[in-house]
Amino acid sequence: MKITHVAQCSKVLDFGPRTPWPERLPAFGWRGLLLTGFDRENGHVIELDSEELLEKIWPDIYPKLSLMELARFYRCVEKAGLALEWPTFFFAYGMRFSDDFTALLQRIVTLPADVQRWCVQKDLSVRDLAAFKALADWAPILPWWQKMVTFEPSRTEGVRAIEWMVELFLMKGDLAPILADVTNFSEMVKQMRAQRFPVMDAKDQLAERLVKELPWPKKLEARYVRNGDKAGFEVKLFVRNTPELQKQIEGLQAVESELERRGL
Amino acid sequence: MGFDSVTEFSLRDIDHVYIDSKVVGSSVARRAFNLFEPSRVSIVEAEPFADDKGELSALQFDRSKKNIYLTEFKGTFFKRCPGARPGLTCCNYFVLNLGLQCNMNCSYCYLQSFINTPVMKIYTNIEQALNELEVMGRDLSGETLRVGTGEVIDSLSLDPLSLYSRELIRFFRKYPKWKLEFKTKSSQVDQFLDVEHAGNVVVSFSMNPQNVIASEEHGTASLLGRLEAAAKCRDRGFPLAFHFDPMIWHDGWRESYAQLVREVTARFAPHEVPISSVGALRFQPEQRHLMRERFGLSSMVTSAEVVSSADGKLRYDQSVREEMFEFLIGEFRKHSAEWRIFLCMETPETWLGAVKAMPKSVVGLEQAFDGRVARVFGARKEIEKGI
Ligand code: SF4
Repeated sequence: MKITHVAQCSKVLDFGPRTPWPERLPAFGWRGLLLTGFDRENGHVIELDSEELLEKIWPDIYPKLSLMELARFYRCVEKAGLALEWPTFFFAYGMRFSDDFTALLQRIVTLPADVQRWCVQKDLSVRDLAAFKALADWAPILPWWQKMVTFEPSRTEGVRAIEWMVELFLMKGDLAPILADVTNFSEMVKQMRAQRFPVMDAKDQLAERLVKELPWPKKLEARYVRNGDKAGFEVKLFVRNTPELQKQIEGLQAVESELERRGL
Repeated sequence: MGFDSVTEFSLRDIDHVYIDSKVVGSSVARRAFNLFEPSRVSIVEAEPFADDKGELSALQFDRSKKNIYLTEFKGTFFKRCPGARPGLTCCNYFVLNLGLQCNMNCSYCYLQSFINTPVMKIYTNIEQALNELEVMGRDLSGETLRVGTGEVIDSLSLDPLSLYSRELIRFFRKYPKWKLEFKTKSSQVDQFLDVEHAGNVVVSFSMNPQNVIASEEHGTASLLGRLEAAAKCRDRGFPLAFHFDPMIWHDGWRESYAQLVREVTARFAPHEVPISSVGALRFQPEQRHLMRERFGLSSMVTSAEVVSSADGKLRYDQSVREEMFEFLIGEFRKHSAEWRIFLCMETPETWLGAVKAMPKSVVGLEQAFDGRVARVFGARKEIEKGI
């Protein structure tokens, strides 16, 4: 085993890992390239066997990397002019190397820093970004994606919002009229849903108003609920005995009459 | 010819036929040599585009529809109907897949959710499939067994090359109690019309209004083409089935579907189409990305307001589905109360909403050919004929 010094190593493979290399661990190098501890200015480096392949070494050192980190590593390697057996490399991370995948890697490393940070934080996968395959140019989406990450949505919420952004852009061509004034994530989602599902949204809004207008018996809670493709009124009542139950049922007849009167 | 064509795709639109060297002597391979010019046929030792296995890109998927690989199927041909899931009774329905992938190109096609072979396949060992049927026949010849083709490849669109319809019709003559169903969106029927049959081969056509076909069912036969093909089958005594499925919501959908009903009822009497079913757009969520990439968002399907349903598929809101089914069934009833239309792959709530009855209680449903729709329910109440 050869020991060198950080100062003697190139940092060309610094891919901006999410977590710094643990201080207690030594830095590793390979053929004069620093593989870990990129934030270190000095200290020793254990130089790994130069005959070993980087595509084998790397997953051993970093068994879990996010898609974004892998994309940044891919760019570093390309810049360094190293030739890696990429299918083998990405297979180790459970990913399939293909033309589409390469295009995705090249695209995501050019995303604005705040978006990249969110992608790393939320550990976005290839599938999470699949909506973008339908876009030749990601640029029109970026300002809205940047705005979205300022609201710190969860991965699931964010991925769904990105998909709606892509779809709305493809349908309407401009997101500004929809998203320019939103000030929080739930408003953003609400606006996008109303545009993406106009018929359903109008129906839901109508039902939400209706549920408030109906003459529900006192002590009975009713609300409009949507569960995927099904929507309806959820009614909650609390009774202690048969007379109370009877009273509530009688009270519900007024609701039925009102619904009939409205032809519903 | 590109996929944006509104004309029906045929063998002319196939770019290349690859023949596994082990099957060059098969009847399909011999026919391929006759039907395609030499530059479009190659004998190969291994599956073409084998490096592209796994999830296909949009380009690879498109390419897979234009290249045929003739090879043997390794495994057992007969599978239970995919509808056989908890809650769904699935009669003696078997699925026979004599190939994989489809040369037509519907925007909603469910093959987009699972096909990961980069080339369209036609299996050349139909004899093996028939042998498996023979074996089943020893035990079940007296039973009402049903066999459907057309689950992962259209039953007839490539039939001018394979001519499997002829062999299957002949085979089913031996088992008059069994039924065979061809399911198609093509108009390719001429190749089997002269074959004597036992009245147990149902030719079923998926029907949609012409504007929906033009917008979403690329490379399939026009509505008129399907109706004319159906009429030819009827005239030769083949039982027919029409599947109004998937109904696709769009501005003006009522007029489109009313027109469709007019086209159908102008040509067919209810007794000539003993089985009809209706279903609405539904697809697996995983396929939406490929659909979006391949068809953009101007399609009625990709821009549809679909949301997750209990079985995980994306569907229209239940009330929208009910409204569409009720409308279509109502249009048929205006013409004649004898039309019997069943709901396909629907939930009990939707049955109740649209036809005011539970599936198990619908007269004739169990006789309906594709038994996937039959659901187990306690109630057994007769409802008026011709829902
Ligand atoms: S005809 Fe059927 S199998 Fe072929 S593309 Fe259309 S839906 Fe898919």
